[in-house]
Amino acid sequence: MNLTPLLEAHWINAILPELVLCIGGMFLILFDAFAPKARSLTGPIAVVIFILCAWSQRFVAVGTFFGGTYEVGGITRVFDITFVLAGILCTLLSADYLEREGITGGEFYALLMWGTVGMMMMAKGLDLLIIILGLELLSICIFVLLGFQRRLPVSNEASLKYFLMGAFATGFILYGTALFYGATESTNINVMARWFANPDVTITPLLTVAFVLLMAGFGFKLALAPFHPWAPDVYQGAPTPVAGWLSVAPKAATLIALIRIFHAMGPVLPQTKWMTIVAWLAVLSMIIGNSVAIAQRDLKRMLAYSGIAQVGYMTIAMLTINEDAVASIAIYTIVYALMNLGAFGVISMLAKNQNDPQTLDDIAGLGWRRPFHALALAVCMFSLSGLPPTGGFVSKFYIFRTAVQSGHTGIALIGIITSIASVYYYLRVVYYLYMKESAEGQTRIDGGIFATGALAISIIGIFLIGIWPTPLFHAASYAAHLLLAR
Amino acid sequence: MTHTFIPVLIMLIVALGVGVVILSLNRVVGRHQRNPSKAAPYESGVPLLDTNRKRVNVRFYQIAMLFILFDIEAAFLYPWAVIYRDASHGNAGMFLFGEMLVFILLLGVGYVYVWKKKAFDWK
Amino acid sequence: MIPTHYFLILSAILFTIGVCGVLTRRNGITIFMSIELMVNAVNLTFLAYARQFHQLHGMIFVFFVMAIAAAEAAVGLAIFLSLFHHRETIDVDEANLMHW
Repeated sequence: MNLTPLLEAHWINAILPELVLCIGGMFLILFDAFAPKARSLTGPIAVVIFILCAWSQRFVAVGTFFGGTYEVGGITRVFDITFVLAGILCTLLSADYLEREGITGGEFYALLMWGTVGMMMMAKGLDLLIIILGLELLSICIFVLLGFQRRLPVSNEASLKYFLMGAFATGFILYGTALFYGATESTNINVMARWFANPDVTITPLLTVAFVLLMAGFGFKLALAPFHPWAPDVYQGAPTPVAGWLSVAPKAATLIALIRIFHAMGPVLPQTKWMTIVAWLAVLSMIIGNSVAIAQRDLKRMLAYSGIAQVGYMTIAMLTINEDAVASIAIYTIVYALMNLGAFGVISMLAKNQNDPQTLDDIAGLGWRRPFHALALAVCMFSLSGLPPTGGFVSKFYIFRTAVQSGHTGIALIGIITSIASVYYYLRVVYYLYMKESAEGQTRIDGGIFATGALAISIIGIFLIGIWPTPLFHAASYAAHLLLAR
Repeated sequence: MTHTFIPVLIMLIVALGVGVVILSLNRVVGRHQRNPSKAAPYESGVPLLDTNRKRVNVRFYQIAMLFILFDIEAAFLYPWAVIYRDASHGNAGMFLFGEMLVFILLLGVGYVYVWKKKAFDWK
Repeated sequence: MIPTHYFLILSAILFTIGVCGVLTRRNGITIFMSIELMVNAVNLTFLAYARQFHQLHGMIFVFFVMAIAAAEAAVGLAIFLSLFHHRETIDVDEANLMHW
């Protein structure tokens, strides 16, 4: 038996970013355990490790590794940027947040890093086993991160709800995978693609069941409409920077994994109703997300419903997998990371008992008290509602253009209409910021240097992509071309 | 092939029958007296010291949690141990050994962490 | 040799029992046990197919699924402990600080 082909040349370069994050996380927990007095240093160290990880992307080798189970390419690099960006922003926001709440710990950042590794595995996995392992690594880190404020009942409750629902969803994903394995005799996505490309293949009802199970599981992780009820509760109870991170990064990772799976199924999709199911999920998400968000006064719950709608927009582009679709999803996730983490960042600075909801009244009149933070929140809201010249406009434009070009005009129209309706609740936040008198006993905004830096990154990024998106779009298109060329 | 199981079936029926007969005989013929020692869980045993519906100390759960983790990781050692001798010649041997070394190292990091966090302390 | 579809039917039944358990039970630990039942039904499916195809693929998958389930169990136990610490109960209906 010869095992050497398991390790291709340059395998260490292929997983260099993951290695940096894994070792960095282990260093952080040991640092925390051995030097509890120097705990406040863990935040800055975590930022350094994330930057190191971003820098290590330069040395990444492109190709297929570990016996055809791990594919590193242009598109995975684009998504790695999203993951690392979300990680850095969340770390910066948490550094101040955890300090204020008195729960600083190296474990927090370590879990963030390992979760990022899980997402990278999901993006690069060419085998359903790797994708599921990545998903679970991510999920387990999220369970703990959500409950990180142990003393707060709401944090614990968020953790409990996500745990039960997440484990339930994992069961569905696993069963779907098992049934696909039974049909295609492999869990490798390339082998499955070859099986689906066979013209004689018949789609049994069992395969449809498998697909539905898979979509139910992934739909949960994405917070798509019929599987969304956990989202508002979990976001409300979670430590705010974690909620921001959770609303962004895992969705990006799940989307890229689904892109791979849908692409492999490509040849049989025209003769099945599978994409109709996905289309319904998207439509329901957009309608439910946007309409319920209007009724919310709690900012985190509002952003949760807005997130449900936003992931609905992204799902529209998944209906037909082509280069433009993949590129627009990649850009959307980057922009979404910037604007959503920016919005959650401002909310995380509201210095009040975290067990109480953060409502619109807390930010009333903020524009005159803390101009920069209010501006950051306003920019994020403009971007989320898709107004030019922000990145949100560009990314939404790409999504809807792709959908129309692939012939999903009706769904794109629903998307555009609901997105216009969403402007109301996004701009209501801006209205409260500038037009409302601040109430008595107003909530203090408590932003340190790190969190303010994170907001600055968000604003700059949103405008940069909004005004000058072409290079990014070209890069993403080229990366998507390489992904789909097989 | 099925007929080989017929003795088992007969065995089952006989066992069931004996059980039913003895129990119902007991019911019909025996005298029924109620007293506290009859209701005790061990009629002729030592007197009970305490109830069994007590709250278990939370530290047991902590240890149980850690046990589950390290226990399942040990399951990964078995396939490795089974193939190690047959597969290890030349490069493959070093590769396999290195893999397991990395695995144990990762577990070691976790172990050192819980140790330093005093999760094993019993006080 | 026992036909593969016997195993598949058994695992489908087990999976369904697990799903019903999750949907009807209110005790957190029982819900988690039902989820474990679902996961083990999946394992059975994988093993049945792996035996039919004479492959190792499915068996390796089962190994990792077991590890995943164990990790989830450990984290879950910690979450339930924390819940009990706050509420003196692990009934999930009591976890209602935020309405659904």
